[in-house]
Amino acid sequence: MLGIFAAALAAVGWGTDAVLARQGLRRIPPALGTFLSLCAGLVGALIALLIVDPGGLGRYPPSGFAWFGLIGLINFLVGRQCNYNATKRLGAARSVSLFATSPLISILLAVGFTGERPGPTLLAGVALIVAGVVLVVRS
Amino acid sequence: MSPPERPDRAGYLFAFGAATAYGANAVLNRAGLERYGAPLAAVVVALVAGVLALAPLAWRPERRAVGFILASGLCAIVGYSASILALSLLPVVVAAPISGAYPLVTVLLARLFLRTEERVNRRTVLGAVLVVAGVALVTLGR
Repeated sequence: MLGIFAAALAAVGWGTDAVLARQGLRRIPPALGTFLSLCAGLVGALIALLIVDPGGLGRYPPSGFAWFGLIGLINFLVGRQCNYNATKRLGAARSVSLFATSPLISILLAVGFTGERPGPTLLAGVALIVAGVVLVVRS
Repeated sequence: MSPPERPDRAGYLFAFGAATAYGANAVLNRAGLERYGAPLAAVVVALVAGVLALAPLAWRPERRAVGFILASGLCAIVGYSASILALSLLPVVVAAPISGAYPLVTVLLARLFLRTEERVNRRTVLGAVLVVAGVALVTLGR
């Protein structure tokens, strides 16, 4: 039950994020909005880290810091900046539906680089995602 | 601020740019966590990198906007932390489709609170439903 609640809380958190960002981005540029949201997220993450896994950072070798630092640049410098720019231009409802296609990108990367072969269920999912994107873009 | 009648193409490019970055990150994250573990520490390192990279762009913002953006950032971290907890307790084929329903939450909240700024019509809603259903199938199909 806790797991179901946590998964639902994740959906509520991410879903609410976009609507709040839309309101904030009415008055400030996306780059500044990204910076402020990261600062807030960093405070929350540090608190969570100190409570759940206080020794977590100490276990990382330099290569681990470099790896996740790169992920931070991709995810926040590129991803969230694009996120906030899209939210400001398209609105929260339309843009979030497009962000949610990211698993499709993961699948394409997996197929392209690891030779993973998609089965019928996965292909049906891809078709639904594409259909959904078309509807959102034309809405 | 009223919604634009015809959303500009740059907005769609940014949206797909975000999806591409997030999708690529999912692959990189999985590889990194398999090798190094400690997911919360990974989040902190990634956030520090992002904050440092964007710090040169920070200047004094309009106060009214700050509250919304800070709340947005906190919601994002709550979402991420909750998803990690869910994945530690449930199989990914159960957790991912539930947490992946967040576009429906956004559509509902936009309909309730952003009525004067965004037009949420049937196509937007149906499109969000199809994307969520498709992501669920993609998760089940892996």
